Amino acid sequence: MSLVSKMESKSSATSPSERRLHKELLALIKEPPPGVKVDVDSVGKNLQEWKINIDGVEGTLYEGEHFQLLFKFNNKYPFDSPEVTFIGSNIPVHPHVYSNGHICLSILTDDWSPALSVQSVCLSISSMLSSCREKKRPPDNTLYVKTCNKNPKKTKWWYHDDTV
Amino acid sequence: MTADLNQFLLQNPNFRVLSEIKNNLIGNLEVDDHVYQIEFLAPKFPSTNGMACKVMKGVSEISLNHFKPEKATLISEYLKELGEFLRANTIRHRPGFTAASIRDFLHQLELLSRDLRCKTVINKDFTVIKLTNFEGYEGHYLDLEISKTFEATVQRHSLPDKDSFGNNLFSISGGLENVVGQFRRLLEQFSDFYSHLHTIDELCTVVEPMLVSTKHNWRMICITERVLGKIVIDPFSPSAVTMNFIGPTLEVEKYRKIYNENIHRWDIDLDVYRNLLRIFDLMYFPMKMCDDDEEEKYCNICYIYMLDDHIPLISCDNPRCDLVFHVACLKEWFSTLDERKTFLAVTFGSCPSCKEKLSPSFVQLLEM
Repeated sequence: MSLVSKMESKSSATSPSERRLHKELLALIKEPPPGVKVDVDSVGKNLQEWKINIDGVEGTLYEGEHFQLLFKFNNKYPFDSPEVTFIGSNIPVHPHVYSNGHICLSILTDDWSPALSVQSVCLSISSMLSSCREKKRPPDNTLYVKTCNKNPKKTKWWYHDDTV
Repeated sequence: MTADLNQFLLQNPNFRVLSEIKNNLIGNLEVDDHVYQIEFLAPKFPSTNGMACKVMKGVSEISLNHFKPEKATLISEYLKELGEFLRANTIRHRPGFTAASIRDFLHQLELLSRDLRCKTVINKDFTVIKLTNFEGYEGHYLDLEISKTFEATVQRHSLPDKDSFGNNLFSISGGLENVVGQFRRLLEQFSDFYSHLHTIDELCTVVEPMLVSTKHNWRMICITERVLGKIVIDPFSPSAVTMNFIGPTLEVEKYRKIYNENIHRWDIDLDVYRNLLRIFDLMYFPMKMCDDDEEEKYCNICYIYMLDDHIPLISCDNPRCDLVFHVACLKEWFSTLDERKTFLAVTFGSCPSCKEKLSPSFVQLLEM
């Protein structure tokens, strides 16, 4: 039995947060936006952790590269934002992405809204990469990576630059 | 065996002979919902002379110390009085009751339920009477609490709780006949009120309350895709209607204006539905085409349509943003944002999607 049919047969998901994640996952499997693919095997039983593969968009600095995002949800989702980081061997070199995978993106903390979704977060990250003009790490990368909390949501981000 | 004893056994098939010595008989006596086991010795059958009797309920013996059969000289009369004694005994928490007063009351109740053509049910302790199935007024009910002196107090009823001035519509106590009579008169008086609401239920898309009961004196209907109208009807004068509009700010203003400009066209000979059509110069109000949940626009926060018997009703002032939200979901979202104004304040936040303002008219939805 595939995960999709397993999930479709699961008639009543329990908590509201699980119910919503369940619907989002189904939609993402059935109609994935270009360059975004959820790693179905990584999705745990309680839907609280997903791995999503995203491809560097053609015609951008990241063309041909593949990245992996880790989404962690708590039971307050969607009222609380997901924790999103790049994981794996290839962390994109980008002015808003630290080498430990943390992402400086306002919709992941201050500007989160329950009307956003996993898909819209993936697309925002993808477009953040696509609009990059020069591959480089954030200027404070070394210090940040040494001192930061493991959870990027604990960082008080200063969203200094929206143009990149 | 004597002929008298044989005849008794024929008339009381619940009894059998344990021993013919002193006519030792055992049997069951059913009183209301209770079953008592009766064993007696009647050496002078059918007379009660020299009789001994023991009553068991389950494993416990019922004391007959206070049972003083007055008229009984025959066993059959004795058992009849015993039954009445036990009936009073079941209502043991209510010491004021006597068999005779209960009988009178039950008789009165039977007459009432025949008069009113309704069904009456009394609970075991004799403390609550439920009246249901009023002929011609389906769905209505009246629960009465009965005092030791057989005074009735309304506990629960199917009429709206308050009139439009906030007064309690119906909460009186007194004699059974008085209370029930008043309920019945209100039912008759409210028949126009209920028929107006019924027409609205049939011919409009009612979005709240989703589970309509006879207690609701209001309906929220779709006027356009985004504008809702809340109609409150006074049960005592059903053509006096309070109308409120809920939806995006500009559209609400527009409909409010049309309503105010045309309210003079209200014709008290027409029902509320037809009057509203006249006011808005419409042939009909928009009707929902199907009941299929999957086809409905779900709430953009919880991703479901029906949440605890509510559907998503809130949309923002941005005409290009067509997302809708449940009241409860938005409330929860705003409560997590400490710096934003509370939902109850006049301006209570912005659309989670496009950040456009939400109309304060939605505050009314909270009162439900």
